[in-house]
Amino acid sequence: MAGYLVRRLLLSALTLLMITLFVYVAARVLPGEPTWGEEPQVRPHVDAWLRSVHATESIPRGYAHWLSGMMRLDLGTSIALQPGRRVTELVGEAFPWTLTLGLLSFLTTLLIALPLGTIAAWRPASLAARAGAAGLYLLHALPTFWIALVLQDLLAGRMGLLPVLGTTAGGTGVSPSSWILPTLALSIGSLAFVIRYFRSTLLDSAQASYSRAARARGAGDGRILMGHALANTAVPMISLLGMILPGILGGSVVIESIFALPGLGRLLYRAAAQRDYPVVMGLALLTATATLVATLIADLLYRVADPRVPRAGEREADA
Amino acid sequence: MMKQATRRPSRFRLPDRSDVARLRRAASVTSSLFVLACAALLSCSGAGDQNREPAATGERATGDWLVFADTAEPTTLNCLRATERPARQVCRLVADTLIDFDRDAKFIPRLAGSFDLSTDDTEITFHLRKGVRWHDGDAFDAQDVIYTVEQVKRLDADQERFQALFGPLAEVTAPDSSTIRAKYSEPYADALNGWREAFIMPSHLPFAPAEPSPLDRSPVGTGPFRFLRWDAQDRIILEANKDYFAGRPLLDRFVYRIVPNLDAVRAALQVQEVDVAGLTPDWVAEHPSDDPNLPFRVEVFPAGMVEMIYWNLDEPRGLFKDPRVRRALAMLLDRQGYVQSVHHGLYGVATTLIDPEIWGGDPSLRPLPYDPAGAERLLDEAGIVDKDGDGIRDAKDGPMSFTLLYTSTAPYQKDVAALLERAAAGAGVQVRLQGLEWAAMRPRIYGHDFEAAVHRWRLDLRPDPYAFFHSSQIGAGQNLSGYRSDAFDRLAETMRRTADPAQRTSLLAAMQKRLHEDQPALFVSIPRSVIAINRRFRTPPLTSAGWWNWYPSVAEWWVAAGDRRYH
Repeated sequence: MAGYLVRRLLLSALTLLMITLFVYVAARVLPGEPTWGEEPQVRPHVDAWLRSVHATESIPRGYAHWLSGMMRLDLGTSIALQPGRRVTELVGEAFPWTLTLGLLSFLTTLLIALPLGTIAAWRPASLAARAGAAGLYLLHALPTFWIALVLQDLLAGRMGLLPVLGTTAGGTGVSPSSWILPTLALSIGSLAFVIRYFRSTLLDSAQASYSRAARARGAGDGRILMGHALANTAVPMISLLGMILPGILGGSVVIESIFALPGLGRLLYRAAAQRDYPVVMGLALLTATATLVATLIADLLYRVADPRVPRAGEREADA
Repeated sequence: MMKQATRRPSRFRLPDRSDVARLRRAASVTSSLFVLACAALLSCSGAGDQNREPAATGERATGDWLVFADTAEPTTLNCLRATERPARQVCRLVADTLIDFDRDAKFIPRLAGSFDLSTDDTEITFHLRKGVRWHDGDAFDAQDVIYTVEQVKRLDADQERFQALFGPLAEVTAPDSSTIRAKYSEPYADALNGWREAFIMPSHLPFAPAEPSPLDRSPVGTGPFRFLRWDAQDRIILEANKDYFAGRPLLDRFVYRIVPNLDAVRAALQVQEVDVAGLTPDWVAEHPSDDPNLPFRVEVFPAGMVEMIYWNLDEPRGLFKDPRVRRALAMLLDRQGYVQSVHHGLYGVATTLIDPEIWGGDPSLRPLPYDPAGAERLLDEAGIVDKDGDGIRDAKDGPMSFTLLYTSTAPYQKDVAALLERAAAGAGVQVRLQGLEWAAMRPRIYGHDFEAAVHRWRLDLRPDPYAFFHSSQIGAGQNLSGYRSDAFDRLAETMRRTADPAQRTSLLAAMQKRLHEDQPALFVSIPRSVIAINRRFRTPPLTSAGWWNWYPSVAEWWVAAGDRRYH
């Protein structure tokens, strides 16, 4: 196990290196230059500033400089969004908003998806299940920003039931009700996917040999679904978690923009638009690390959830 | 300025503006239908009660907050570094300048209690207010002014900012702790303008110009509001400076909220989560501004901007060298139709650089007419004719064909570009469109690497065309067309040395006439700012100077005790 972990960590470090190199090169070769704001008349002392933070060095030197800083946990300073501010500060301020929204959305999705997925798997051929599936496809097809705008316009703008802006009510402070609309908007988009995923996983389990054996012993549909199939969805659900977690940490540009949430998605969009390379790199590092860690954790959890899953290297030994 | 939200891409694809607008309309219609179906719920909303006008009576009193929403966030709140509008908007409340404009764009004393100009326009003496304190408690004096000027000098190696603010300023001295004497090497009529823009910085909190400073995030000024907090991407909170030399502002707090989405801004205005924000002409066209159900009133101001299409006069094929060609291109563009159809008549048609409604504008000049037939005659006269029968006119070194750049994230620029493309095609001129993000556009236009480009400029309340079209401003300056005219240069230089208002006005008129004849750029439109202000705010009469870019502006706003929303 220890050897496996070391190999995976080394592979992850190499992958991380390649991702950051790719993002750095892509960010630097894009046409354009760091801009302070979008005002036409801005002619600030940008060049002197950029020189002082090594942003005008050649790409290899610039990347080496960034890498050596990263090794010392120094991700540099912003060069366009808020010149001079540490990237870690900017990311650190935005991260809690994105994490909160992501977790709320994840929990909401699970709370709705698991019961609905189970119901859908209970009688998969029934009219209700088919109608539900059609509705879910429709929801899945709607763009997230459209759903968000409808919810905002309807529930906040016209009915006044909830705050329009995501994080605060009237600029006075954080209000729990402010989270409802962004959470709903973000959840609805992934709800259909998770329900379908959970339903098909349950159906696969219900058709597995252990379920057939249980049925042969006289167990009913309910007992098979809840007692056997449900327990065996653990491995696929771990995969799902591994897929969703990086998205949670990466933030949603659309939702954060529509509801004015000061999260990572918005930060990344603005940093890319204003060519703030250090901030883009910091966020790329965070997202890539989250993806790699989530994948690693998912792989490890597979083994915990299902001891039959072979470790890398074991297959060759068995052969 | 009325600022348009940058359109955000969906996670699925990058819709263009028309797609997004269509879907937004669809979203709005969907929710409207739903609302109609929920009539019972609507009847319970009680919107009419919330939106009542504030009581006509009421004592001028302190209290309440103003929540302003903008799509842009300042890059810095170091008021010396701040050049972009969002930062300057906050700085106008936190920091002071020695002098400022009143609502009629007339110079008035601010941190200086009074000022004198020498008769030869080479010296200004500022008599500073006594007893003024910085927000951290230190005393303000003349050394702070000296320090500010020295810091501006150190901001950049080329002293670009110093030149823009102070021009030929030779020396600044402090004969005593409450007097400042600024001497210029030559008469400089725009000297007061620079002092109006230079926020005075605290000398007891020095910073290195090329390095980060605590002042970047938490400014210390002497202004009517003191800085309280800046939550990145979310809000900046200022609170009333109770020790302000002119008396504390009537509002307790000014909250600058960063809301990147204009739809959210509109909805937040409607439910009073936001008090003041910009609206688009589309919105104004769809809603009667005197609708009593709206909790806000709508004011339209000159935006202090001009929308232009720059011709690169140094373009190697010389396509735009001949003024007749430039005039012809201007006559091909239906600018009246553009401002009517796209801006619902709220924007004006530009004649030259300066809005006729603000100081220095020349209402007697008329825009070049929309006259495609006349434009074609001018092109024929200039020898731009279709020689090979391919439907495209030919200039000296090839077809009359050029690329028109526009900023894809800027509002309406694509509309202007597309309009010219279609109009020009009808006259045998081929225009290729290329949209770029501002980060990519900026180096192209400042590097003179373009053939034609749509661009907007923000102008001061007392604009000086020198910066935009004097030949010395080619390259490092803002003369992006590369326009060279000895006659214009002489007029611009004379105006810089002339303090007499009547002479300045006549010089400015002559300069505009010159620009009108030469058409170094196609002057397209004069944008307007459409601002929504919550009805509970009592404001002094607002003029063409707008709502914030003068003194004391927001510091004079107040809310009657019964109408307060925040305590």
